[in-house]
Amino acid sequence: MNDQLLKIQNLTVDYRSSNKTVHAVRGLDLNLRPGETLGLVGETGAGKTTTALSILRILPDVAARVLSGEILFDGKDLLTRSKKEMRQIRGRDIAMIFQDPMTSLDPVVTVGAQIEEMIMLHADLPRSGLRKAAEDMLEVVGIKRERFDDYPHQFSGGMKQRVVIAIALSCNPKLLIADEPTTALDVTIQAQVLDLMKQLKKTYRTAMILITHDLGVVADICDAVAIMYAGEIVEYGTLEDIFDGHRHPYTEGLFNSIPSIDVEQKTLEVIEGLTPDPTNLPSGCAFHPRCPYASAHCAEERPGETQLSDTHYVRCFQCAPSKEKELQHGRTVVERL
Amino acid sequence: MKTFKTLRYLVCFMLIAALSLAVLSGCKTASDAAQENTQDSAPAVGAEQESAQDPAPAADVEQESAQDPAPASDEEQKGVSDETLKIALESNIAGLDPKTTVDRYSGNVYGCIYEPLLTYDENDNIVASSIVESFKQVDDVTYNFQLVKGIKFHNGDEMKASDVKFSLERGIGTSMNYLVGEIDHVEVLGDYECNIIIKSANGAFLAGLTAVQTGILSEKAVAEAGDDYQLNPIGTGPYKFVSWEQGVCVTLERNEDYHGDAPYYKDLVFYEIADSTTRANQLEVGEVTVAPLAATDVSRFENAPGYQVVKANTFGLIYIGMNYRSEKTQDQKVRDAIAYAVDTAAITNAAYLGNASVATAILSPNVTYSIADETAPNAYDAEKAKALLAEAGYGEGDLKLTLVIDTRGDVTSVGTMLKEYLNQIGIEVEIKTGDKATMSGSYYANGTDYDIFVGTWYCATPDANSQIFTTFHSSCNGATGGYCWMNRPEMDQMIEDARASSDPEVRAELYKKIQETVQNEKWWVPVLYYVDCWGASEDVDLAPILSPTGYHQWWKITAK
Amino acid sequence: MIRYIIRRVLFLIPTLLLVSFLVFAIIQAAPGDPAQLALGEGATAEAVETKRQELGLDQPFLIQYLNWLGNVIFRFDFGNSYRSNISVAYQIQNYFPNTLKLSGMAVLLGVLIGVPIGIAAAVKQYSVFDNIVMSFAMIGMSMPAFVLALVMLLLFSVTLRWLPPSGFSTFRQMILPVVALGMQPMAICARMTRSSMLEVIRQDYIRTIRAKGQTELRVIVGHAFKNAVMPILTTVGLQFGALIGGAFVTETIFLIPGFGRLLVTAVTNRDYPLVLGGVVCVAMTVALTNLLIDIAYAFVDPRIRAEFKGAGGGVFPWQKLKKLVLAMTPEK
Repeated sequence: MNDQLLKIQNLTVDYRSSNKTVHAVRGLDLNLRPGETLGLVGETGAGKTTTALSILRILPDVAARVLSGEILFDGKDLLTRSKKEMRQIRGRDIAMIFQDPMTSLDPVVTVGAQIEEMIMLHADLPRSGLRKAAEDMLEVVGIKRERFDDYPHQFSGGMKQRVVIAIALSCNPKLLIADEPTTALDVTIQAQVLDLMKQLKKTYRTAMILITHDLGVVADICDAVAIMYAGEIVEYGTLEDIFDGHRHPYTEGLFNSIPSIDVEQKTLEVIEGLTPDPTNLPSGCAFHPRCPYASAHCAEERPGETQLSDTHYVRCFQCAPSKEKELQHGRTVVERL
Repeated sequence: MKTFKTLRYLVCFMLIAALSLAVLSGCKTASDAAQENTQDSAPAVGAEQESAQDPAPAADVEQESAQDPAPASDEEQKGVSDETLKIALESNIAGLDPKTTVDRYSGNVYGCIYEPLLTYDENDNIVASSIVESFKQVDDVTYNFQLVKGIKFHNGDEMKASDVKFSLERGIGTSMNYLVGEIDHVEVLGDYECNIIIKSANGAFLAGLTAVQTGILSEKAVAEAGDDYQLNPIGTGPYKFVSWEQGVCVTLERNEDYHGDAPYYKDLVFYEIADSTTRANQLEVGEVTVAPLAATDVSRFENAPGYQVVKANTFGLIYIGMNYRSEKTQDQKVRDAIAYAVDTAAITNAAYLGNASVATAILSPNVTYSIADETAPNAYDAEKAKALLAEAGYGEGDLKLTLVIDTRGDVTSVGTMLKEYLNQIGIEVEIKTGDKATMSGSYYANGTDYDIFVGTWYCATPDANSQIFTTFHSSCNGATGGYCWMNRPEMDQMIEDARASSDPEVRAELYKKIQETVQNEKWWVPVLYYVDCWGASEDVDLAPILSPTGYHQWWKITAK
Repeated sequence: MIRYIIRRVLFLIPTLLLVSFLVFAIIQAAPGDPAQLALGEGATAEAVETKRQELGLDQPFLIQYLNWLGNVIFRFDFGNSYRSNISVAYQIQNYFPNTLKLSGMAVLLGVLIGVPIGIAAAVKQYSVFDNIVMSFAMIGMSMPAFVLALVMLLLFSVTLRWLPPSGFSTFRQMILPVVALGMQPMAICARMTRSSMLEVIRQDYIRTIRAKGQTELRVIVGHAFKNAVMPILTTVGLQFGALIGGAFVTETIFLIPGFGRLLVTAVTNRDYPLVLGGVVCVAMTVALTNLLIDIAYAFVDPRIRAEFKGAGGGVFPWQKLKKLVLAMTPEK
C-alpha cells in the first residue's frame, strides 16, 4: 500500500440542479503507482472527467457535490485538505491538461507568460530565472524558445497542446491527469503529441491518468487500464489483463466493436441499447439492460468487485474466476453460469 | 467561496464609504463656514447674512471696491451694511449690453450698473434722473439736456455729453430700437449739454428715456473692450460689475464712489434659475434670499416662519386674440360669441390659483392711459354665445376654428380651457402648438392659417404707445408683435396721433378710443393680468422697490 | 498603430463637416427667424431686416455655411451668439468643461461601483447577492435621471440639509448631480460586467488556470476580467458619449452651467452659431472618445493589436466591426 501514489476509495459525486440529480460517479475505486500510466476508458458521460476534476477539486461548485469517498494522494486525503493546501498541490504535485487545446489557453497572455505563471506559483525562482525556465520548457516540448512572446492565436492546434503540456510539466508534478488530450487533434498530430508524452513520461517519471475513449491510444501508452461505465469502474487490470483477458460484458462489447483487419465485415458490431440516463440509472448493475448475459439477479443487486487476479478485478455477477477461458481468434468467450 | 467574501465586502465597503462621505460632509464644521459662500452657514433662514462670506463663487473675483478714502463719513449715511443680497431671476441673463440684450431679466441686472437720463417720481411724472441737471422740450422734435458735472463712470472717467450721444445713437436699429428708434441724431453742445432731435413729434418718446436700456455707457470703455465689452460693463450706477459666472450668476458690488445715495447692500448676486421648483428650493434652503415664485409654490412660503410673500402688479397680461385676416372672424357676432363663451374669472382662478387678477382692458392697469379701472371684465354668458352663433348662421359643430398657442405652461393651460369653452357652445377647435419661435415663424409671421390665438404681452415701457403701436399698428404686423394683423387706416391714424401728441389729455382720449374699439369689437379678449409673487426672507424690505414695469430698483432695497 | 491613429484622427474631419452641415441645414429649415428672436418682441420690421443683414441671414444657405466654415478653419472663430453677441468660443469654454466633468465623473462612478459589483455578482451567480444586485440594476436603468435627481435633492438638500442644492465648484456640490447622473451608467456597467464575466468564467482556459493552482482572486481579476473587459469598455464609451450630449434636466435642477442647458437654449432661440459650435464640440468629443476606446481595445486584446498592426483598412466602422467579429470567433 505504501507505494500507492494515488488511491481513490468509494468516490461518489453528484451534480444537483433544481429538479434533477445526476449521479456522475458512484463508488469509484482507483489505484495508481508512481510512474505508472493508467488509461481511464469509457464513453462520453461515464464520469471520467468528473473523476479527474474531483482529484484536483476544481469541480464547478455551484452544482457538484462530493458525497463520499477518499482520495489519498501520497497518503493524505485530498478531499479534506484546505483550499490553500490544494492550491499548492495543483500544478506542483498534480497537473492536469484538458481536452480542447484551442480554448485551453488564455488568449490575452503570451504563452511564455502562461508557463511562467505556473512556475512562479510553485517554484522559488528569481524573476530572471523564470523566463529562462519557461523558455527551457518550450524547447522541451519542441517549440522554439523565441516564440515565448507569441500569443496563443498564433499557434496551431497541435502546438497549442504542446504548450499546454509544457505548462503542466513545468513544475515536474508527480501525477499528470490528461483528459482526452488528443481527441481534438488530427491523427498525425495525435501521434506526435503522444510520442512527446511518452518521452516526457520517461524523462520525468510522471505518473499519468490518461482519460480517453480510444483503445488504440491506451494500447500505445498505458500500463494499466480501467473501464468506466455509468460512474463506476466495471473492469480494471494491467494492459495484458484487459486487452488479452477482459471479462466484463461491456469491455467485451467495446473490443468487439473494433473492426478487425483480418476478418471481412459488412457492419460494425454495436452494443445494443443506449448509455443510461445518469439521472435515472437502472437498478442493480447499470449495464444489465444492455448486457447479453444478464440474469434476474443483475437487476436486483449492484455487483461488487470480484478479484480475478492480483491485478485484475471486475464488477459483474456473471464473471466467476473459476470458469475457464477459451481463446478464439483473439477473443474471449465467457461461459454462462 | 471564501475568497469572494473579500470582493463582496469590498463592494459593500465602497457603498457604505460613499454614503458615509455624503453624511459626514453634510455635518457643518467651523472650517466650512469660511469656505465658498454657497455653503450658506444659515440653514435657519432669516439669520443675517454673514459678513465674512465671499460674494462671488467664481474663481476670478475682481479686485475689491476702490479703497475708500473717506469711509468714516460714508458709514454715517443712512443704513449701509456689508451684507449680500442674493436674488433669483426667472430666466437667463443673456447679456449686459443694452444694445444687444433688452430682455427684462438682463435689464434688472444692468439696471443697477447704468443710469438712464430720466426717471419717474412718486407721482408717476417723468423727471430728471440723478445724472441730469435739467431738461426741457425746445420744440416739437428737440429736447435739451443739461448734465450734472463730475459724474464718474466705474472706471474713473467722467461722463460727458459725448457718452450720451454714443449710448443713444448706438441703439438705433438694434434691439433697443423701440426706445431710441425715433432719434434722428444727438447734438453735442458742450461737455455737459446736448440736444436730442427726433424724427417727428412723439409724446411717448420721453418715457423711453426712463428705461434702463437707455442707460449711459462709457464710449471709451466700449471702444476699448470691443466684442468683450459685456464681460466687463462700465456704467455710472450705484453698483459696479464684479464678475459673471456664465450660466450661474452675475455679481455686483456697491459703487463706493457713487454720486447719489449709497445702496444698503454691499453686494448683489443675481442668479439665473429658470426652473420654478428649483427657485423655490433654493429659497427654502437659503441659497437665495429673494425669488419670484410660481403660483403653485406660493403656499409653501405664505405661512412659513422667516419668510414673506409679496405680490406685485405687472404690465403683463394674457389675452385671446382674433386674426383680422381670417374669414371666420370677420363677423362681429362670431367674435362676440367667442368672447361670451369664455369665463375669464374661472380661467384666472384655475390657471393661477388666485395669484393673478381678472383682466378688463387690453392695457394693464398700471400702464399710463389704460382704461382698465373703468372697464368691466369680459362677460360670460354661454347661452347668449350660442344664440349669437346661431344668428351668425352656424349650427352646432359647423364652425371650425384653428387656435394657435405655444408651449409655455400658462399659455397652454389657457388655450386648453379656451378650447373647452368653445366646444361647449358648439365650436370645433383645432389646436396648433409648438415652441414660441416656431409658432411665430409659422403663423404670426404670415398672418395666415389661423383664426384665433392665445398670447401674452408685457408692455415694455409705462407708456401705452409701446404696446399699442407694436400690436395694432399695421406696420408692425407679423412676428414682432402684430399677431392680430389688423389693417385699418383709422386705427393707424389714431395710434400715430396719440404717439405724436405731447398733450396728456389728447393722448388719454385717443388711447381710450383705441382700447374701446379693440375691446368692444373683441379683437383682443383680455383674460388675466399677471401678478408677480415674490418669496423673500422676512428681513428684506422688498415691497417698496417692486415696480410693475418689471424693472425693480434693487439699488434702493434695504433690510427691515 | 500610429498610422491607424493618424488615419482615424484624419477621418474626424469629414465627420465633423458632415455633422455641421446637416445640423446647419436642419436648424435653418426650422421655422423661426433668429433675427427676430434676437431682437425680441416689439422690434420694428426695419430693425429685424437690419439685423438679418447684420447676421448674414439674407444670403443663400450655402454661402452662409461656407462663411461659417471659413471663419472656423482659417480664423478659429466660431462667431458670436446671435442673442447676446458674446463669442461662442467663450461660452463653450465656460460651459463645456462642466459637462465634461459631470459626465466624466458620472461614468467614472458608474465604472468604479458598477464593475466590481458586476464581477461579484457573476462570481456568485444565482446567490441572494446576485439577485439583489440585478434588481437594483434594473431599477437604476429604468429610472430617469431627473426623477432620481429631484428625489435626492428634496431629501438630502431641502429636508436634511446635508448637501448643497446647486452649483458645481466644490466637491460637496458635485455629489448630488454626479450620483444622480451616475446611476444609470452604474446599472449598465454592472449588468454588462456581469454578463461578460459569466461568459468568460465558463471558458476552458479559466479551468486551466485554476488547475495551475492560481488563487481565485487572480483567476477572476487577473485573467477572467482581462478577457471580459472589452464589452465593458464599449459600454463606457457609449455612456460617456450619451452624457456629453448634455444632461439637460439634471443641469437645470442643480443649476449647473452645462452644455445641455446651453444647447437647448440656443436651439430654442435659433442661435445658429452657438448651436453649430456646440454640436461640433460634442461630435468631436464623441469621436475622440470612440477612438480612445478603440485604442484601448488594442491594448487589451492582442488579437486586435495584430489587426491594427497588420495591413490597412479597418478605418470605417463597418470594416472595423467585421474585423472585430472575425477576430472574436474561434477558429476551428
